[in-house]
Amino acid sequence: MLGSIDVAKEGAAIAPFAQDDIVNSFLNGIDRKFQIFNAGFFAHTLQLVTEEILETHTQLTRDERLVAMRLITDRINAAIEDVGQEGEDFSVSEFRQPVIDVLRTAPKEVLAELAESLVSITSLRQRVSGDLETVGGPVDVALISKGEGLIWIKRKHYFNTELNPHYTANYFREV
Amino acid sequence: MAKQRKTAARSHSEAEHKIDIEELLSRFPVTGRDRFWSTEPVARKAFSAAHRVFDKHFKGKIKLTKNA
Repeated sequence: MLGSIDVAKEGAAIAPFAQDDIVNSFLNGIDRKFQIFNAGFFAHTLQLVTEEILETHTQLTRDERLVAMRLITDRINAAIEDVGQEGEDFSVSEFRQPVIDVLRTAPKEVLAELAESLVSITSLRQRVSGDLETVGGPVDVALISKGEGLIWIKRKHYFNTELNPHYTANYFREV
Repeated sequence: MAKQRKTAARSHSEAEHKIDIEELLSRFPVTGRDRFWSTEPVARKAFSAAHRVFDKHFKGKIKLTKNA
């Protein structure tokens, strides 16, 4: 489900939904699995090193060590959270924001092209990675604007329009 | 290598891992397509990698002496 989209702050937004992982990787410059891996890896390495130092170089009892470890782990988690936020800020300024800045003033056809490309890259990634191919086939692209309403840029039909010219004629016939 | 990994995994208890993994994953809310894959295996791989790096570079190698 698509949540609310806030364009007021930056004047433009890209809001992928459903299969949003590859689009987000493209826009953020990092895959979400990598973010989780990095956070887990660094936090746990710090924990293990701390444990080693407490065990080898202090006279604390086992219970005292456990308490000390808990306190230090809390600090490590808080620090890793800040590292994550720093990474997020870097990702926005280096990857996402430059795209948003261009989109704010880009012609409408560029917006349509980007939207279609993001769907296509998701499809391609799934096709070559052995992942479930849940995105693919012809892509429909529509532009909705205040002035022109809904405009189809690309639209597939279940029939060949050249073989059925009456469809187009009827579609545009004035009532 | 496989033996080394098994040893590494044993040096931190499963219960401790479970708590740490839950804490880690609570910081990454599940959205969109993430719903289709579990984040837990990623966390477990990260922890195993941490054990391998720790065993190689830190375990038994931190010698704190006055002359160091």
